[in-house]
Amino acid sequence: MTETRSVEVEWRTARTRKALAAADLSGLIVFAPAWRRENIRYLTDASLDASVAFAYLPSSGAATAFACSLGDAQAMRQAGFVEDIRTIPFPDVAALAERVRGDVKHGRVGIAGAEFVPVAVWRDLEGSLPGIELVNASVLMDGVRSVKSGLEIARLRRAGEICDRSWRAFQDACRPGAREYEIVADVEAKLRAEGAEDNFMLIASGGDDVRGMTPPSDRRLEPGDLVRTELTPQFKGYWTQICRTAVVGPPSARQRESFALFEEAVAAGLDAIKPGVTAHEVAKAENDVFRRYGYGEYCTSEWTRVRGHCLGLYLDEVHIIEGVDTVLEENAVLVVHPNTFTPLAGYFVLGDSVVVTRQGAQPLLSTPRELNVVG
Amino acid sequence: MKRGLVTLDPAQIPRAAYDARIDAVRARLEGSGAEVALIYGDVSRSGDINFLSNLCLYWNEAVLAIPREGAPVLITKLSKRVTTWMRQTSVLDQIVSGPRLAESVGKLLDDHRGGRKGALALVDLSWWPNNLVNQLRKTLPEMELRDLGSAVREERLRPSPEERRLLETGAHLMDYALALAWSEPTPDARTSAAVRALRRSGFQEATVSCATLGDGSEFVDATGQYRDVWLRQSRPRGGPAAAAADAALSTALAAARPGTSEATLARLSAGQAAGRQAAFSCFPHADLETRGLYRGAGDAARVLRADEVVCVAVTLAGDEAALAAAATVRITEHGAEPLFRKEGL
Repeated sequence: MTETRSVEVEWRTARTRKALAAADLSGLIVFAPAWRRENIRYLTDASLDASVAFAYLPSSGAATAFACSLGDAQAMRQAGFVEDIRTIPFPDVAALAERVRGDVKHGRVGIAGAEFVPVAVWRDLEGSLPGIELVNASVLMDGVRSVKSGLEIARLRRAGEICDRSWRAFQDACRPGAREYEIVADVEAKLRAEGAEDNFMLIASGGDDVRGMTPPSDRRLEPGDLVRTELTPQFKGYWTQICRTAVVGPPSARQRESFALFEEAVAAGLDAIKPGVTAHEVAKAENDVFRRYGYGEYCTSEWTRVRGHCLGLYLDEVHIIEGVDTVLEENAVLVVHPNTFTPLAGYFVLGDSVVVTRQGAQPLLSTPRELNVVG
Repeated sequence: MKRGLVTLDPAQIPRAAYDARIDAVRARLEGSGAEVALIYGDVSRSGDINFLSNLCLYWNEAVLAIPREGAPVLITKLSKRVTTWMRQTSVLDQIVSGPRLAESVGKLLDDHRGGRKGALALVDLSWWPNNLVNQLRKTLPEMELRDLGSAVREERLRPSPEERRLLETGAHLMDYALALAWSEPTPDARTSAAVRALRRSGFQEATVSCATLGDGSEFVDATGQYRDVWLRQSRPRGGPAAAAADAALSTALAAARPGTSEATLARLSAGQAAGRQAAFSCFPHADLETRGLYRGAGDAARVLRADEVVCVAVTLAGDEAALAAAATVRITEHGAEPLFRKEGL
């Protein structure tokens, strides 16, 4: 293992074990279905393809990774974070249970991703681990992953650079007559050429009747349309997001007014960021701008989901919403995006990803926040 | 991530086909003694819901409820702001949005004959999240949860005539994408070209991996969802590892016909792996979404059936990366009929 890898593994392991100890857990099982691989990636650093993988981190000693395909086992070896790698025939978890049993006889063991463990697997684990209480450790791991290492921030920053370049590709693709899914195809090609391993992207084109973003349709862009998107490339596991809205042709006065409202809200959210701030406080700063201009009702769940969210190995970590008291520590990473509907110009998106530093919000993107004219 | 074109096209799959698929679930429901069937789906495992409704579950989790009588209802964690889009792109009219699925199921049953008493039939109960099943038990203490087995997956295993047409179209489009990829000089450029072509041709999901290994072997491995069918193709070339994987795949394909078991094909292909660590798989195209892992325990022992479309793959471990040779083929009385024509030639 290289020195950089070794330092990173030690740092992550120490953070995880500290949290396990505080929760009186003697070990951690990780269950990773294909759409929630953040914790397996945290421990193995491997880009996986099979629809399931497991890992076990004891309270002392080395972690063990359980791959469900030859390709994933190879990927885990290449990543180099874990040396003990075993291939198991899913859903047979006997080898995992034996590994846990060899380490813990009685007490509590956490499961990250417990809420997704299939009935068949849970039944076998419980049956194979008598005397051991299995405890959901997903939230615990969300906390562990919330503060990023230097290596993690470097990867998020690189994903931010891919965001910037992909946004330019998005603008180039937005021409009158272009179909939404063709735009997505061109952006995706750019992302992959830049080294992104995946991307989460939603889009919505049209007028002031648009209420939210979805996967692309075959709708063609028309002059006067707003085209909203969030691009979220994944680089070496880490997701960074950019939210922008473009207008096809010259913007109307109401579209400009909408942009100004959202720009002020983003700026207010970013200004609120410092180590120790809560998710609630950031969301409130954004929402207060809407309230000030008489659009407060559009900050509710009727019209919007979140006012941003933390980023990392999962693209939708801690939610930035009023009422969420999670503290954002130094080196947490989040996107501030007050995306919502208003009557001004329909659904509007604008947001930047940043790192929480002692100096405030440090940007991960270099794209200016503007109402871009395309086509 | 499912971020490609989502469209409901009656010319490709007519409304009557969806009605027939839902009726097939109802037929299984009749025998179960339950009033409502529930089908679970999440972002990475939503093939059953997609098959029954054309809905693309691009985010989070959902449950599709199919009562013996009355329209199906989708219970989703997605915001109600996108339910208009969900109605436009699926055959579903009734969509319930809420953060807690079990609670929403309970509310749905309150409006249904029998209420919160009797039995619920869960499709593939053993693959449901244990946590959600426990929440259902807690929410519905007087209801019995029964396993309806793989009632939907079984319908998906043998493609209908319209699905066969989609498979042929999808294979043609993937052929084109792979040909474009091979014309590029580097793995990143190949990935980019293949992904762009697949997305532009309407693939909802497209996973492409490319690499050049130290022994000169190269591969472009593509898996994609076109409407409700899945395809995979990878014909590596150039070096000893590529040659070994391709030989192992060709041996398996030559022996694939109705009545042959996956174990037999695995044994035959293993002899061609040139002493390398190898893994063999052969499963219906419908299981590509989950890379064949969410199948029944005895599924690997099953024999191939005429007219089913399967993905056959051989993966070899290497020093730098695993390399796979894979093909999606139709099983006929005369053997494995390739859906792909150009790529690899």
